[in-house]
Amino acid sequence: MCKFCLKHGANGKWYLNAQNYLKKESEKFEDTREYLEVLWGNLERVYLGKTYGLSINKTLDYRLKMPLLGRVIKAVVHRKLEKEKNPNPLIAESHLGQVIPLEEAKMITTTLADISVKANCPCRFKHRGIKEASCLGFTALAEVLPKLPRYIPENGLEVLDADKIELFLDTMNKKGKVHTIWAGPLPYIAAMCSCEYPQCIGLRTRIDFDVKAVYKGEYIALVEPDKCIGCGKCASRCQFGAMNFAPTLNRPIIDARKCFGCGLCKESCEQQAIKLIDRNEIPITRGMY
Amino acid sequence: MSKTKIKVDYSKCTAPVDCKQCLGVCQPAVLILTFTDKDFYNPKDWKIFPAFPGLCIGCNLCVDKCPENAITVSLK
Repeated sequence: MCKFCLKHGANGKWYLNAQNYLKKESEKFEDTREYLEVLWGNLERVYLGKTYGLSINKTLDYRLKMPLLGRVIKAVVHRKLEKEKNPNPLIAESHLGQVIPLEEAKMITTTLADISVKANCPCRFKHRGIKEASCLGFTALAEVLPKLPRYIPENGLEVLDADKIELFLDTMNKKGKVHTIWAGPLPYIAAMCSCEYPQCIGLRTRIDFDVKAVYKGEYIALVEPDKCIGCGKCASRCQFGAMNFAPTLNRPIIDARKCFGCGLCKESCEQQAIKLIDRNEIPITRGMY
Repeated sequence: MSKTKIKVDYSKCTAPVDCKQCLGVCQPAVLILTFTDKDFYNPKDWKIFPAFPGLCIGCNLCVDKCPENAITVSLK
């Protein structure tokens, strides 16, 4: 269990706790909406503007590589990302994500989140100039999105029913996208995105700069050597560089240290030779989020 | 390790949102569309900006692709 699970989870994972989706009745709902409006309205500025006195494009890269001081800067950034009291959305305080496998994504959208609407991915438009509706906004975000025309997809905002969401998640998974949940402000979970490295703000900061804007999932993938026939379909799906196809063994090798537990390789395997196991069962990856 | 310096000539690159060919070819996604001070909320006025010069591999694909020859990549 990660630290958010200990803090906000009800006997399990924090993103499977129904309380983190229901803010409608609470007094804090107005604050949540205001926070989301500022955050999503200024997402580009948050990404490239001066954050914590560092700008990601000019200074963050080499400052994080400085010995000792880089570690201090990283610790400060992580503390700000996890700040829960009076978060400032303009510097992305209290906004972070976690990778989840497909089954849990389906569980969240069908049973836990009330309203889900599709929205355009802001990251993909910034990086590639493509407008693709691959994000799902939940209750509070669904009320905020109509005010932000950039995020409204071609067909307009529509509330999706269970079948449509399942179809949407399946197609995203087939395309090879990683499902992530996004909190903001913690522990409220506002969105579920289908991300893709390198054109994702969160995965880019995590993989290229090692800033924990996205946490690793609760699982890691393991290959069962007896079932594997060596077709190699899974190896092309990994976005994190954790999977390597070994011709001598005629099966893939997974680097558990790099694995994010997204389950993309598992979904592509026709022999069911890849299984997801709890990250904490293996000593090396225990607590490595 | 040598580093590259990327320059975008904004007098030549006038309609990046309609063209965006350099965005499609860049493998490490160094170039991104970014807001301008003029109009933050209207993506039509956004411009191409080399956001992560540290990740550039210097393959010159964007230079070859640009129809207006607005991008130059030079070794530092």
